[in-house]
Amino acid sequence: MKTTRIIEQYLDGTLTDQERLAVDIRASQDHEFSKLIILHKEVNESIRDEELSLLQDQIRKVSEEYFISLDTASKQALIRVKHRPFIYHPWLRLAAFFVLVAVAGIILKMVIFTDLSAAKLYQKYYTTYDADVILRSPDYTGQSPLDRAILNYNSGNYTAALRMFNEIREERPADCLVLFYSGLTLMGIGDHESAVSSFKAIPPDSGCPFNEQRDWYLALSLLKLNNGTAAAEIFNQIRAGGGFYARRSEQILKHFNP
Amino acid sequence: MGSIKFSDAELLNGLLNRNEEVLREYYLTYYQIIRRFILTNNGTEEDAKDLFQDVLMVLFQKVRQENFKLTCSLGTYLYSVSRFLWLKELGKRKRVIKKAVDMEEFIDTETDIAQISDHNERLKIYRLYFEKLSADCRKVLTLFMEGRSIAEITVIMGYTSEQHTRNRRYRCKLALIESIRNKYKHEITGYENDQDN
Repeated sequence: MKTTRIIEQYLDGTLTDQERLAVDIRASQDHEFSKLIILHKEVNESIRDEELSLLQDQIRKVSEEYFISLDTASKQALIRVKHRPFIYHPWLRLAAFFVLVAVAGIILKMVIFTDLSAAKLYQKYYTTYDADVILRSPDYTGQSPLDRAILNYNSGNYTAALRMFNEIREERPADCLVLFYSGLTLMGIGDHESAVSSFKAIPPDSGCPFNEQRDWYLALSLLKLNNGTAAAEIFNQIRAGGGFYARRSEQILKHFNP
Repeated sequence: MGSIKFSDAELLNGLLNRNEEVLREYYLTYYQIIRRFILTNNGTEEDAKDLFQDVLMVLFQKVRQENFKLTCSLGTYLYSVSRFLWLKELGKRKRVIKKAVDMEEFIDTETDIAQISDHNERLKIYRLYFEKLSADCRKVLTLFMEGRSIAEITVIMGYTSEQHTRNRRYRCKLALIESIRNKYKHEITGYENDQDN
């Protein structure tokens, strides 16, 4: 019992400094003694930590209840399967499956091939133009007023962007890039009439690299303004051009009867 | 994967407060996910049941740590701890699998998870042996662990002297240590003759 007493007093902190030092030295030289101290310490912890053992009991109890309820549920499911009514028999299930497929097909056909309103089409196909290409280009310095205006457009700061584009337009009224982005910004604000004017102000022979994009957003703006005939004409041109927006234009034309 | 009824914070607090409704929610929300992982990675239904209990105990210990902070969803954390402990268990059983089959996202768990799990396991065993002691021994040891003074314990227990109280404590502790050591002789050897000292 002497060893037990020494270890307990060591753990209680009731040994003298000299006795404590003696225990430390012995533990450092005697591995078994060191392990015994740890055992005492952990046993004390297990006695002290009643919460842990209470939790263990509760988890066990909850676990048993959970598995009993699972068993009961699966037994009930088994009983239900054995006594399932006529309607659940395989051939009826198969028939139900075909009916479901037919209904899904009808719904799909209605969704794909039914004409949509201009407003719905606009909502579906309008996404803001991503100016990343411009911002990543070698010419982009981030310093010029145009760069800053494009950056504002790209960040959705349309009011600031429009103010800046208007200022630039005063100096460069026929600059296709300024006109194109002004149009996009006006679309973002919701002023589609001005957007159409801005897009249309781009001279046809300007050699603007954004011609297809301009046409696409112009057609969308016209669509938004319920000018279906003019919009359809441009969508047809885009489709015939076979460019990036050709497929989308084709899809719009499928649903659209101006 | 998350509880509809409780937030992660509520589930953690509930575990800390040993709220049975919350404990049930752990089973309802997370057990089947963990079970599926165990079953698809060389485990049995029993393994899944045992492991889930261990994981909850580990989580309890983690939540009690002052610095514990959940850095992902509770579901991901539980899955990650389960995954870690199960792969470790497979290693112990010499059934190492080349690559675990995962159905959920997981994170690297803290390095102390295995230690906490082993520590919990040992405390569980020690507690079992403690429960086997006489009621008198259990009470004396518990009063000591609560930090009561010798004088107080002597009065509470109705002993005749403080020296008797001290001796009673050491005898009870020795009996407990010996019963544990007899069971785990391969791990703790030596000092068999402590009673003679």
